[in-house]
Amino acid sequence: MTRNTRILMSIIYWAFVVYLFVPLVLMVLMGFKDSKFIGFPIKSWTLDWYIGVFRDTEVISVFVYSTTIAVASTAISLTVGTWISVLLAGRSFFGRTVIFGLTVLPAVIPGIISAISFRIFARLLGIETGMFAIIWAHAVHNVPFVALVVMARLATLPASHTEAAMDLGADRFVSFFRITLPYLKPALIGAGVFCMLLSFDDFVRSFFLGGYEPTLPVLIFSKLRSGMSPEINAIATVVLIMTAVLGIWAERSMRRMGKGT
Amino acid sequence: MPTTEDPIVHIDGISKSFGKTVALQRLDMKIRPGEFVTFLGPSGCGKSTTLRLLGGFAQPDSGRIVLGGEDVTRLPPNKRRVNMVFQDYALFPHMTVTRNITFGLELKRMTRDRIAARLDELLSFLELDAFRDRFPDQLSGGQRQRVALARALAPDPDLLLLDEPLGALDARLRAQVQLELKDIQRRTGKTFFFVTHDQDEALTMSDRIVVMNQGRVEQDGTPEDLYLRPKSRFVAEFIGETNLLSGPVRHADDGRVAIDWFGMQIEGRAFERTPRPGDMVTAALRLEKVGFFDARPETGNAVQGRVVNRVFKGSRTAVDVRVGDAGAAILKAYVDREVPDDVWLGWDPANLAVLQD
Amino acid sequence: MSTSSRSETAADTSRRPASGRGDSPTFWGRLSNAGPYRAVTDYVFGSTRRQFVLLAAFPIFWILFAHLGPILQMIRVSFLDSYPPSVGHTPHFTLDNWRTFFTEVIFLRPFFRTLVFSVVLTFATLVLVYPVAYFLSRHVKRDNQMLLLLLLLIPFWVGEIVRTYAIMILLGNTGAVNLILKALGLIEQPIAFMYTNFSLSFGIVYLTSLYMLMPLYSALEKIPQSFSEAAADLGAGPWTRFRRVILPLSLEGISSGCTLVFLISTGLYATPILLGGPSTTLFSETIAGFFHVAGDEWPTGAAFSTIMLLTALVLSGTFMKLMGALQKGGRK
Repeated sequence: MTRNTRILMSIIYWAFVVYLFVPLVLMVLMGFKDSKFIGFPIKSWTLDWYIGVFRDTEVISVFVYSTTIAVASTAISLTVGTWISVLLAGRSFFGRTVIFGLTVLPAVIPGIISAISFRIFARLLGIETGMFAIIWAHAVHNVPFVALVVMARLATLPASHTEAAMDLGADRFVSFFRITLPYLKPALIGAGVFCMLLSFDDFVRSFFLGGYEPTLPVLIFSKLRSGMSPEINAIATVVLIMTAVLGIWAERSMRRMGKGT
Repeated sequence: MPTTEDPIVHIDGISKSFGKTVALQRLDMKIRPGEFVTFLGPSGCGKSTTLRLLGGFAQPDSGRIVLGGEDVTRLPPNKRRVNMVFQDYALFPHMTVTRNITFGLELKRMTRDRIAARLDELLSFLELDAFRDRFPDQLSGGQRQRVALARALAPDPDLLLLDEPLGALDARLRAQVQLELKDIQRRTGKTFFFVTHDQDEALTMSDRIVVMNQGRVEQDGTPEDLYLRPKSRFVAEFIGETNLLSGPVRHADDGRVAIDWFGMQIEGRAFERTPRPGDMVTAALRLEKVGFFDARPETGNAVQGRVVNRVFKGSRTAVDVRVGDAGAAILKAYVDREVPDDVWLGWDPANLAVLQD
Repeated sequence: MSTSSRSETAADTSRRPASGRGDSPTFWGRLSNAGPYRAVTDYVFGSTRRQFVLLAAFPIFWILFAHLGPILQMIRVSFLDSYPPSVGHTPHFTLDNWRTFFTEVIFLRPFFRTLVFSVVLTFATLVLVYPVAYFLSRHVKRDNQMLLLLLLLIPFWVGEIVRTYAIMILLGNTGAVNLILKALGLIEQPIAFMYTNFSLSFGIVYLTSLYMLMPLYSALEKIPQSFSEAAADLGAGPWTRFRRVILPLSLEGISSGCTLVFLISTGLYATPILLGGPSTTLFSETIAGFFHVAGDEWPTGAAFSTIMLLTALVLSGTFMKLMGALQKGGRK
């Protein structure tokens, strides 16, 4: 590859970075605008909108609500996804490929259709729209990601490790909790944080399955429908920072642990 | 009460197949307490299958495994008083040396005090004291091997299985560890069941070697037996370097067998069944048992020949000598001095082992 | 293990466990030898068949119930004349909901617009992202790759709504783009980017580009550097090297990246509402419409969803098959 193409390629990369970041940076800046009207130029600056976010009890309770949903659905996804992975990684059985296909199904169904089907199914089961319906939908949607990550990790666990545990007197249960699970830890942290982010950011399922209480994306959406305002920028910025910090932390801890084992 | 003469392990006619591949065919074997038994053979010979059956990681299709008087054929690994040193050591990467070694002890409902005492004993026995808080990836290959050994010895098993545990070590370290391992076995008095495809390892360490081939036992005996008195062509070729001499039997009498080898009259020993005159037999002769003489030696077998090839091997030279009518055969030999091209070769008839196949 | 545990006191404790606990077994020892636990595990692990059934029962139930159930129920409802069930009326089987789709042009238009939109945008995303993935995987040192990838992941973690909003601010009449164009003297009046095909496309590409990047990157990263060096050694120029070596070997990444982006684009709901206008209605908005009004519109919505799902899955399935065949053909 010649020098020129190399330079051209790096320009394309950095242009892409700019493309991804500029809209977000502008959005963050707009949250400091000392005016009710969104738009450039920004003539004077203020912190009021950000302070407002932390004073707004509605925003805070919605935030807690969203977090609860994210944590609960992630816990379910991790448990189910790991369980499925252990089943699929074990000895082969009739219908294993079908089970695998159905495991990843929720990941390939377009968002709106997934949301609609859950809405209909929840109605059939008599589940009220609201927190439980959302947790359930998020959990189902996130299971494929957990299963894929955990299965990939499980495939690298030498069979001799669990055999050694059993050899030393552990039954399969003890061997799973003392050997397999610690080995999966980096994968579980990575998948778990990814699930939290997916749940926290999800709009379409939360929108169709939500009751009267909105999740954070739904709140932003409904505020947006009644007009743009720097207040929304401030809320969105807080969300942005939180997700970015969580994501970076997960990446780093995953990589560090990946090296250790 | 079992006496020391009772076998600690009794493998009673076990067979095992994987699909159409037969891994073991009616294997019978008794192992005495304190023995260092090595299963030796090429890959796929059934030695690892035997090991896994003893460990409980697989079940035989038929037959029984009796361990210390108890039938354990269907017991899972965690219910057997057998521990294993794995080929890759299988040290738990998220646990320190200490935690690895105490893993098995904790599951035995031992008190923390007794676990700690046993740990200290093992750490000092295997000279691992300095590494107790290290993780496996902070240890060298030899140290890992010792940790794996300590972990397997910790629960005080009746039988210790070792699955080619020296394969991962470099050649120089391996020689040293072989001696250490033999020493550890002697000092603990444990029964070792060692599996390898490396004949040097087997010869160095074992009290008894079982040579396996295609799911069957080829020969079962002491290292000396196997080396000097192989029963089959397979054993003779698998262990060490050997000359195979074939020819019709002239006459045979109580183990003394006279063979016509390309017109040369040689004598060998049959250690089991003595062949009848007229039978075609093959006999094995170790390279280093062939002596070089300037004139015809007075006793033993003697053939005359001409050196056709020399390969320098450091402390000795491998020599190919063309012998027999019109130079019909080649005898290989080791020599540690200069020899002229025209030589006499001779050997003790006791070193020419007539094979059974 | 933290560093402090290697201090003297910690080492002492590891040698002699804390007094008072020394005469008791550890947790796992107590558990493994507790009567009820042993009874249960002996039963469960007593037969491999029983063990398998217990392991498999819950996952299979979950998958059939939670993964497949909603879809099957949606398909069922699409054949009913009314849903949710109302008092005094039993739902009947009907094909009317499906018929509606094929007879009313106002529904066909958003449907095909969605498909065309998704296909075109998927291709645009591929063209935009491929050089980035190529650069990252083949021109950056391994240690830095992770760092540069992380940089791209940060915006990716920020959700659909927040990023859509960011695009609104960028493209609005008083947005950054118009401000710059005005400052450069290129325009007098702001250009109405928003609520057009342009703003919608821009937003969708912005949202989905990372889903394209990841599969492409991992496919490209797997190709050894020596392959293109060998090709160069045999006299292949840069373009030939790319076309004959790199491109065929990255087909798998292209295939899964495109499928992923296509499926995501067809399923977006908030973005078309916020960035699109009346002339850019997508099918997801049409579907959602049936669920926001009172009355017996759910079955129609279910039918439309099913049609969308089948179309999307058949299209992407065919596409992946074709790419697979292309890959195999190239190998011959």
